[in-house]
Amino acid sequence: MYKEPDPQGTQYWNQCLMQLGQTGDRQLYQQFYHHFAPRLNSWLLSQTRDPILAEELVQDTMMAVWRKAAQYDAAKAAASTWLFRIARNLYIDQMRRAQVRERGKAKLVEDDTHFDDQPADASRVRQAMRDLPVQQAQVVYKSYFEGKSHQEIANEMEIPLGSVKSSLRLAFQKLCKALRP
Amino acid sequence: MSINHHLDDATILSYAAGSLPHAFEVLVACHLRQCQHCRQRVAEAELLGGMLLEALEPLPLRDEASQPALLLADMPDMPATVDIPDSALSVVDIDWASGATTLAATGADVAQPGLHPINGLPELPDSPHQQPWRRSLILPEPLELLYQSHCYESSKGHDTISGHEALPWKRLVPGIQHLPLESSEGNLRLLKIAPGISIPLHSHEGSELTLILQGSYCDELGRFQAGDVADLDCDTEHQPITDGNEPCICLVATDAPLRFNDLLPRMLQPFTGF
Repeated sequence: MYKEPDPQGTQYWNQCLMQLGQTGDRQLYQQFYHHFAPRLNSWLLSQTRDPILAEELVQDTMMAVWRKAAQYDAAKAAASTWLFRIARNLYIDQMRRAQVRERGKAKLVEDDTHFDDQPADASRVRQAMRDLPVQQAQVVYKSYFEGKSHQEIANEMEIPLGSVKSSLRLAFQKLCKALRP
Repeated sequence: MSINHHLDDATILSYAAGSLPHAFEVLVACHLRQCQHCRQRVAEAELLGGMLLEALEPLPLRDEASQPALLLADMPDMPATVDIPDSALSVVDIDWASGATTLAATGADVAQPGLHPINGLPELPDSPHQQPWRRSLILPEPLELLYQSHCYESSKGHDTISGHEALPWKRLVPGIQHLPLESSEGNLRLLKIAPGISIPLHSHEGSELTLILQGSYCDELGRFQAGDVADLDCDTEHQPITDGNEPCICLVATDAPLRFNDLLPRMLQPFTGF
């Protein structure tokens, strides 16, 4: 029996991006954009704390989606993972632009990983985040959303560095379990 | 090569999130070049990052020009599916210990591992702008030289890094040389330790990451060989001793000075910079 794809489901967006890559359909792009751009904006605003820069990075990320969708492969990554990687790389580039000198051309790439095509979805992760003890949720939040290093988190929360690391470790393991029950 | 000591999950998560200090990021990237296990773990953390992204409350963009229709107004239609040769999607994986440079393909087969005609360095795939989902990093020059010379030597059947002889090492104490590397956050340095040297018992104020590039050492946690990474935090006290008969070269990232337990090393601290 045919089932309508769940518009909130990860699988739905993976297919949407694959299809976008094959067809270059502007309607499909708009749909993808309306779902992800405002979420990217949330994430990038918490990272940069600069609403203008955040929106610029959202645009850059979404342009990359338009130009590179043909190279997206749902067997290798979820659409949201792919998008997260692009946005994170652009954000890091932006932060480092002033610091890194144009020397050497070494590029380190790593992309031989695979993606288990299991129905993982964001609502389960949201629930798993809610179920985390406060300290674990905080260290995850500060790592993913505020770009803080372990030491910065330890200073801010006034807890030992070792606790930051063990909290991150435990949270990571629990969240992974939520992804793959 | 078998790698026995991997990155801590906390380090993996922060690397994926983009929140490691630069010195640590460089070291992690070097380890990932060799370690499929940790690459897969990073992919998990990135999957989690994407899920967290999806779970975020949407925040509408304020800029009116950012409407997708307007954004695309000037854009040509997207070309229909582009054929990308397998080689463009290959991943370069340099295996230090065996000296093998392999290309892990995304497709079924890889025809030619494209080697640079002059220095034997594999031609790396696209720039980050061509493949924006791939993470790239510029290595500090001495580290890059080490990798290059190693690739060159290994293509001629040698197994050791000879390029290290050419680097401007500075003597720290007898048997230990170092070379500080540029990094925008945290300390990054290369260490070259003669065989049979014991590094005084120390613990750490902050985090310390060590990647073995050549040779090996033993400490309370086990034996560390090329490709292995020691991911330590302040709770760890250790006294590494280099073994084997070649110098042990490692890359060390720290975010705070080491704490030596004996008086003498502590007195040396102002000079050694540890």
